[in-house]
Amino acid sequence: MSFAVRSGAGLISVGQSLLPRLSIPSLSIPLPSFLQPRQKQAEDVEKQEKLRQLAQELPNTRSGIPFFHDNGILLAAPKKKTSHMKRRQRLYAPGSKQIKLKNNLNRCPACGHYKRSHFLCMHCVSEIQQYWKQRDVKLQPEPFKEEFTNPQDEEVLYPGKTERMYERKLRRKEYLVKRPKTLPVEH
Amino acid sequence: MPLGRTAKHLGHTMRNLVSSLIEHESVTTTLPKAKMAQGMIDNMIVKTKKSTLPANALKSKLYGELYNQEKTVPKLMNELTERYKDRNGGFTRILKLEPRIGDNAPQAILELVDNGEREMKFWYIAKTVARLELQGQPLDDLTEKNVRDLLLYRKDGDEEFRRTVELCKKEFFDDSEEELKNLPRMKSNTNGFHRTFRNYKVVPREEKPKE
Ligand SMILES: [Zn+2]
Repeated sequence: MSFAVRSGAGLISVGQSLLPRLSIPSLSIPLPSFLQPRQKQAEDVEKQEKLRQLAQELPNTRSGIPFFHDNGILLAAPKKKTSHMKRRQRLYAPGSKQIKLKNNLNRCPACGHYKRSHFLCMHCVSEIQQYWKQRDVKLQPEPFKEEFTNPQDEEVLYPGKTERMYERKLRRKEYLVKRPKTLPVEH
Repeated sequence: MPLGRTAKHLGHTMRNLVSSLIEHESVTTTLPKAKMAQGMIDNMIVKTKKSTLPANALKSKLYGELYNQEKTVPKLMNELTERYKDRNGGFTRILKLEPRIGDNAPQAILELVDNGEREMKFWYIAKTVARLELQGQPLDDLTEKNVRDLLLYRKDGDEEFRRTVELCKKEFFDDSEEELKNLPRMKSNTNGFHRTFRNYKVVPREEKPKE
C-alpha cells in the first residue's frame, strides 16, 4: 500500500470502500459561450483556470505527510503501560531464558584449566595460533625498504609522525573484548 | 534455504571455503558451514584420486569447481593425492571451538589431516605430551592412543612429533613453574577426564584376499 501513501492522486485508485473518499470539486458542463453573457464567460474562464491549477497541485498538497497521519483511522496500540511486575514476569520468569549451568566441564590436558568436553581449550588454541603467526611472519620475505645516501632526503620525503593517544589505542586493539582464561581445575 | 543463502550464494560460499581450505590447510568458520564444506572437500579429494580422466581434462574440470585455481588445482592434483594415497576417507577433521565473541555463533576449525603447517590437533596433543613430560608424568592411556592415531598414516610422523614437542616445551612452558603445578588426576587414568576411558587396542582390519 506504499503507493497509496506517497501521493494523494494515487489514493483514488485504491479501493474506494476501504478508504475515505476525497471530495473532488465536480465540474458542471458549461453552457455554450454564445448563450451566456460576456461577463459570465470571463468568470468561467477564470474559474476553470483556477480549478485546473488546483487539480495540478493536488498530488503535491499532502506530499511528505504519511497517509495514516490525522485522517480519522486509528491504529492498534496498547491501552495501558505494562506494569513492572508483568514485564519482569514475562522477561525473567521463564526457565528457558535464564543462564543455564554448564555440567560438561573437563580439564584441559594441555594447560590444566577448565574446558568444555568435546571442545578445544581456547587459551591453548590461541597460544598455538599466535605462535604460528609469528613463525609464518619470519618465513615471509622482508618488505622492501628504500635506501637513501643522504639521510636528509629521507627526512624531507617522510617526515616523522607523532602517534596520538587515540591512534595508539587503535593499534594496540584495546577496544577488543578478550576472552578470559578459565579457572584451573582444583583437586 | 540452507545457511540462509540462495542456491547460488551457497555454492559460492562453499566453493570459497573449499578453495581456502586447500590453499591454507585449515579454516575457522561456524560449525554448520564447516560440516557442509567437509563433505564437499572429502568428495572432491576422492574423485580426484580415483579419476581416470587424462590430466588435462581433470584439470579443466577442477578449474570449474575451485577458486584461486593457479594455486589450488595443482596442489589438489599433486600434493594432496600423494599425501592421502593410503587413506580411503577421513581427509579432514572438525574441531569444535567456543562460541564466537559478539554473536555467539558456534565455531569450528576445519583442517586437512596430516598437513605439516597448521594442524591444530597435532599441536594440541604435542602440547599435552610436552606438559606431561615437563611434569615428569607418564603418558596416560588416552593421550597414548591419541598420539598413536595421529601418527598412523603420517610420513616421518614420529620425528616431526618429537620436534614439535620440544618446540612446545620451549614456547609454551618456558618460565611458568606456576602452570605446571596442576597435575592430572591420574586415579582415573584418563588425564583428568570424567568418563572412564576403556583400555583398548586398535586392531587393523583384515585384508581382503585379492581375486
Ligand atoms: Zn588449555
